[in-house]
Amino acid sequence: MDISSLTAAQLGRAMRDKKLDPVEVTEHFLSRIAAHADQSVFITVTTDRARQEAKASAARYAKGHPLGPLDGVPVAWKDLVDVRGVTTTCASEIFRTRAPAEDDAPIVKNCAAAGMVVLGKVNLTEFAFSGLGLNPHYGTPINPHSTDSPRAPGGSSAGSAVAVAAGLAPIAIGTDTGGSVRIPAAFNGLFGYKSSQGHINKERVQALSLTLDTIGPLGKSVEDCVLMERALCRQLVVVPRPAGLGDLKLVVPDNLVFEEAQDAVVANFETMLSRLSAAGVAIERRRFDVFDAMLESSAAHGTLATAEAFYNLGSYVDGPEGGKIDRRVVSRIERGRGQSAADYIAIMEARQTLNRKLGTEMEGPTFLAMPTVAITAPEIAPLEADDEVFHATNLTALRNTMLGNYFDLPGFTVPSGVDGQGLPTGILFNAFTGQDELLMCYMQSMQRAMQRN
Amino acid sequence: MNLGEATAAEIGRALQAGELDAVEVTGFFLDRIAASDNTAVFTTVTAERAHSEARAAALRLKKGNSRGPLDGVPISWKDLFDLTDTVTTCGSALYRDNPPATEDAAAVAHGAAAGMVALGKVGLPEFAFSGLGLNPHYGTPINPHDSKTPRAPGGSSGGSGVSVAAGLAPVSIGTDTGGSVRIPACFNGLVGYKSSEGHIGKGGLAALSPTLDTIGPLARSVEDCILLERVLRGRRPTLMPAAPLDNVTLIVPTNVVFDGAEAAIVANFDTAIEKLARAGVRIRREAVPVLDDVLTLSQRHGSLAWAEAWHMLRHLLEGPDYTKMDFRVWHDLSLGKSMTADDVLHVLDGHTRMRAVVADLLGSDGLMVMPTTKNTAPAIADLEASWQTFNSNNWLALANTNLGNILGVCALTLPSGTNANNMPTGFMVYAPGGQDERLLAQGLSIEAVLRG
Repeated sequence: MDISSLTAAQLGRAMRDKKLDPVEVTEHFLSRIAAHADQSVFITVTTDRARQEAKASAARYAKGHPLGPLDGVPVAWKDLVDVRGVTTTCASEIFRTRAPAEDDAPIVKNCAAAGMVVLGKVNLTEFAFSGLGLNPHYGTPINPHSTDSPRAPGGSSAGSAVAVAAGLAPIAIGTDTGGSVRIPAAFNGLFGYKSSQGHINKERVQALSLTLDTIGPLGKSVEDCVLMERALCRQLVVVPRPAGLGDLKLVVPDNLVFEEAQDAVVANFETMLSRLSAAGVAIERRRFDVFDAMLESSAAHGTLATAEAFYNLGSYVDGPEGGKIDRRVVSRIERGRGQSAADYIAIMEARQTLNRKLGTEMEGPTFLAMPTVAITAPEIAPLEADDEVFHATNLTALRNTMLGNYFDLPGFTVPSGVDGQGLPTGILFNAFTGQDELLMCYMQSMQRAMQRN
Repeated sequence: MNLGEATAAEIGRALQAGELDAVEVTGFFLDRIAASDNTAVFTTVTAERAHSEARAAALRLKKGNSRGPLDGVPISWKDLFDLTDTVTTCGSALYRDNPPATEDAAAVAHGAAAGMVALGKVGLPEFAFSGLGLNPHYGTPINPHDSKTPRAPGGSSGGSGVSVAAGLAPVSIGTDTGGSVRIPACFNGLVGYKSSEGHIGKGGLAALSPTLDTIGPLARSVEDCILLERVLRGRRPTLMPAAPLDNVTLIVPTNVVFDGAEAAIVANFDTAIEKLARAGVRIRREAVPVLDDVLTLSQRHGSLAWAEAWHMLRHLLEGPDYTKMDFRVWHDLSLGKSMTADDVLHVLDGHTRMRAVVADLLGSDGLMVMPTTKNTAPAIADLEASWQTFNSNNWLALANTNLGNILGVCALTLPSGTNANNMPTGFMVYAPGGQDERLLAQGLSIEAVLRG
């Protein structure tokens, strides 16, 4: 059995059926991590803890009392999330040697309560503030789909995505403020789920933007993301049941989201839509004025992300070690310095008004569908060579996903195919604010429809 | 019954018993308003509406179809609330010629649904942005407690305070963003209730700070405040039983709240505390560090009210007609201009943190008490003569009440006596935000002790 190719749910079932042993599974991933050529994926491997947790899991299975479908399944954590006894680096040079975390974040505890095994902490864009995943301090995890030259992993949850795509972990946890779960998932051919604000606890997770930050898994199937959402919320019992597709409507915006989109991205998106349509899903295409209104607000007042990033991180930029922070991250944080109180209030007011307006356009079971990212994973070298290219590419990468953060929509990205060079593309489904469970019910049926050929 | 001194509940009971007639009651107040030489109290008298509402109430009462204990009782509204067919002036000359409101504010509509009779709209300092109640455009309502020296009504619900204290309305509705219900209630010897954020709907109310603005009554009794709290929320106006004080602990902060307070205010407060202690209430005098945190946060980062008010009104504050505004108000409303997004985020984070501290400190049986204001109603001439005197008095009026808005509490102010000039002083009670029901039930008992 090729352990690395199994989904988290398949691993759980194999352990339940005694075809695999939790210790064997964890050792498999620990040796894969040690042997992997690209050593920038993990910042810390928690070998001792992983072995202890695997042993405890094996004992539970031996007694016939596993803690649920994910008992014994290893998981990698983005290095913004506190794991007891380990330094939370935020992939920043200035935190490399700071004191270890005194306790697990509540979401880590919740996953431990589901029997999961902590493999370690994975790399990210410094402070999670970019969508491409480059990191000058801890190295940039290379997208395993690269053929010709090294491609960006996508960010900010770069290590989370590469760990799963390279078979170093069956599933990983990321955070998403503007697309940081969904972009790396799409660039690496994975599934990714971004929750609604407040749906998953954020204590002991380094904040970038308290209003926009959300937590979510990157995995190899819809089922894995659903099980992981249950574990993160400590909802171990009820798994949302698949819903029939007959009453579902998908609305495809015809403004903004296809600008600058690569041909393969659009072609693969349309293929998925036609499969969903064949399965009975109603498809509608129209303009969303709220997107234009959002852009107007941003042009006039700046963004919520920069204002809140400056609040959370400005003191580090201004501190004695500010010069050690990635200049590209600093330049984004600096945008928040000049924003006025009135700008911030105007942004929040517009956001609330536009969210309500969008809500009236998404009544009934209605999801927005769009390409997750307009482009596939770009080559790393040109991004490193020219900051203007970096910032322009970054904005293109974030453009569609950030709608989900601005409007506080739960979102699910699903692999939609590959381009001519074998680079993955993704399709993104957004439900309205708070409809996380509704989205998950439909995603299970939608995945089946999209796989049917 | 002397209608000019009766509570809303008393008038309501007499109407229910058929001892009074709704048309006569409204006629009494409209006549008083017309005859009063305190001409700046009302900005608009809605006589026609009042007459027709009173007639309708009288008919209902006669037929036994009463809308409840306040059916036929008159009320006045701060001129920030929309009343159909009247201009909502917000006390500003810039709004004098605005089109009239096309419908009642939610709170006003609830009042009408309970059978209450709208006498009209009462004055306030421009855009409700001062604790003293002066208005150069529509005139300043005079505090009725001093017949010789014209004294400030308190603000911003100054017209509300004076309309009740001068017997021109049995009860009035104000708003409170930094103390604007409690200060005029205190300066006029009344009871005032500031509700928790979000407790009373604000549809059709001109906003100053959408986060901190709250609605509340100025009245002659806690009972009236309770009945009005029900009415303003669209519920049946029924009274809860007074809550016993056996398990209540009153926390008297030893820091911040007495700094700079007038001696008579402190003496009257201490007398009130002694009465409560004698009645068996536990009293704890102790430092409450979170009050210092409020001051530090404001000094470092400013206030949310400044930032939100600037955002709401910047089109006027920076507009071509800004010189037509009261300069003092224009100055204070502009304090938010220099605040940054970073300041707002620090303030919001501070609110969350400090409100949790207060909820923890007071729990479900603690109340924080302090003098409502640190000054009594100052002479209007002194305030008009010196901007410095105006500012220092404005701060003495707002210092303690504003703590409550930042800490997100609900609050009551009760009369605690007068100073040597016969000017009223106040005793203020804070409960954590959301505990309005407990505050009001225990407020009934505290009021009984203080009056006894």
